[in-house]
Amino acid sequence: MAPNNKKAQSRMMETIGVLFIFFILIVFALIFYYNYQEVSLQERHRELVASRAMDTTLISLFLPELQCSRGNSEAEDNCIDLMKLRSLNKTFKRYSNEYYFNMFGYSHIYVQMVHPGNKSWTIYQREKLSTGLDGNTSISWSIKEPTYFIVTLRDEVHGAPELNYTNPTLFEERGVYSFGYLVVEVYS
Amino acid sequence: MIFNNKKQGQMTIQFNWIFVLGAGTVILIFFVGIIVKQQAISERNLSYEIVNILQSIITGSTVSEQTKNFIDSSSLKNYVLEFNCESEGGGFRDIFSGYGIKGSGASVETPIEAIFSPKEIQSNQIIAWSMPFKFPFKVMDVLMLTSLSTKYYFIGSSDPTFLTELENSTEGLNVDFIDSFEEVNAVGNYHVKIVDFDSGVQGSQITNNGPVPENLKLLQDSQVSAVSFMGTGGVNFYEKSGTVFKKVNGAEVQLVSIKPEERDVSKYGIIFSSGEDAYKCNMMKVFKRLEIITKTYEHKYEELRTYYDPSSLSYWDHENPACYAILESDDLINAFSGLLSSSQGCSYGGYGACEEMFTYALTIKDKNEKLDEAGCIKLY
Repeated sequence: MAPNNKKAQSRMMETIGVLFIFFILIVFALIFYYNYQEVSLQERHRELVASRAMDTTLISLFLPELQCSRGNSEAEDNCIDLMKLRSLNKTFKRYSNEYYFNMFGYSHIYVQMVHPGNKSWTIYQREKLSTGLDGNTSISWSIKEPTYFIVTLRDEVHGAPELNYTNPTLFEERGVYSFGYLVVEVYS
Repeated sequence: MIFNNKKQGQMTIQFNWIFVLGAGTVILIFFVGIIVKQQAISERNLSYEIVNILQSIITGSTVSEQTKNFIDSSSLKNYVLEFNCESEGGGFRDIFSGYGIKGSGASVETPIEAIFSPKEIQSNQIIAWSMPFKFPFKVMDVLMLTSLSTKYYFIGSSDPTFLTELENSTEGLNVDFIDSFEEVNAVGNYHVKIVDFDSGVQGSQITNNGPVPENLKLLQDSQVSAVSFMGTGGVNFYEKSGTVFKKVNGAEVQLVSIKPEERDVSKYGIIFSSGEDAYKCNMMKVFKRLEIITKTYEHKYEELRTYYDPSSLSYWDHENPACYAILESDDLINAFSGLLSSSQGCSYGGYGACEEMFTYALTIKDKNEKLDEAGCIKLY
């Protein structure tokens, strides 16, 4: 009776052991799966940010608020009207919450002139911020996806407002077209 | 003794079976649970993926002016895409708008994008047609969204210029120009819309409580709608109710447009939108943008005035007194302030408060042409 009992006990232990190892393997598989999911989720998040950056750049390039118009004809492609751009920041700030946040979300959009001058105009800026328990605000984005696009800058008044009307000869030196690039930085 | 041993052995075997059965069931339930959960996650992910792709397509289509994109959606033919735009209080701030997959949580809000579309689309091919709304300067690109399974019948001949334009511009769309209801045939279409250009005049075929075409009577009410352009310039919307059409709007909806030579967005919007609410709601988005764009052009106008001012140094650059005279006219100053304040009033007060804007827009258009004729820098 005693050896039979022992035999059954050892079989039981064997079964429990197999089950234990089986569950350990399942736990390992779950941990692996969880980690894999986390990595693929991060990758997907990056993809989404990149896609949002592309969409935002596309929208920015074709903004009627910026584009060089040609009367009733189609607007000039990849051309920014400096006469509109110079005052745009004010308009964008005013309608930022109500309108443009829905369009651009957390991003920074600016135009950089490269030739003939070196000037920059911020069109829209909204960073993701968080307020700590101490009341201090800090940046709370982890990914910044910048996109650059070369544009021509049209200024039919030859930079008159910037030259402050002090030197008439400067108007002749300034051409109608200059060039630069549009930068769209998307935060996430 | 032998009997006892036998009994014990039987017990052990029975216990083993029960134990294996129990453990097996637990393991099976565990895996079935994982599979079911994974399936639900996959379906949800697929829905979000579809909505994301649709969002990119819509963004791309919206910015490419005057283009018609035929999007293959055969892989989505089992899904019903739902489009919604409501403005409870009538103003821009009350807008609730979006699109998504019917019956799933996957949806995208569109608080500023103007998309004129049927309420539902289920098709092998989606058609996205972008058009610029100009008032008189370009305000934004709006999107006419439809599908190959949405059929449009154009009836009547009261507006021959627009009908000719429509015949040329709607190439590739599921449209038919007909003379009578007998030509209507709805087989294989998800939705049928009849657009009547003869309403309010002799030969009008769509009227309140008027009969639905014979071939459409068997379709569900939600599958048939109609719109009629009245001789008075307004528009009425109808829905099928049994075997008759029921008018669903109150007063006639007035079009707000400066009547360009072609592609009158306000008219196309009527044709492609699902009803009065959706039309007004989308137009409110356009008018809100108009308010902002007017502000932008007002600044440009101020800069031009300073540039052409004979008392400023920049006058040396052009020496053209005619330009300043045009820019300084009271009409233009009033037109800008009028357009700005009326568009502000319109985006707060709702569609009914938007009708007066076009007179200001016409003045700006006229002055812009005068600037062009005088060799000045144009406003737009």
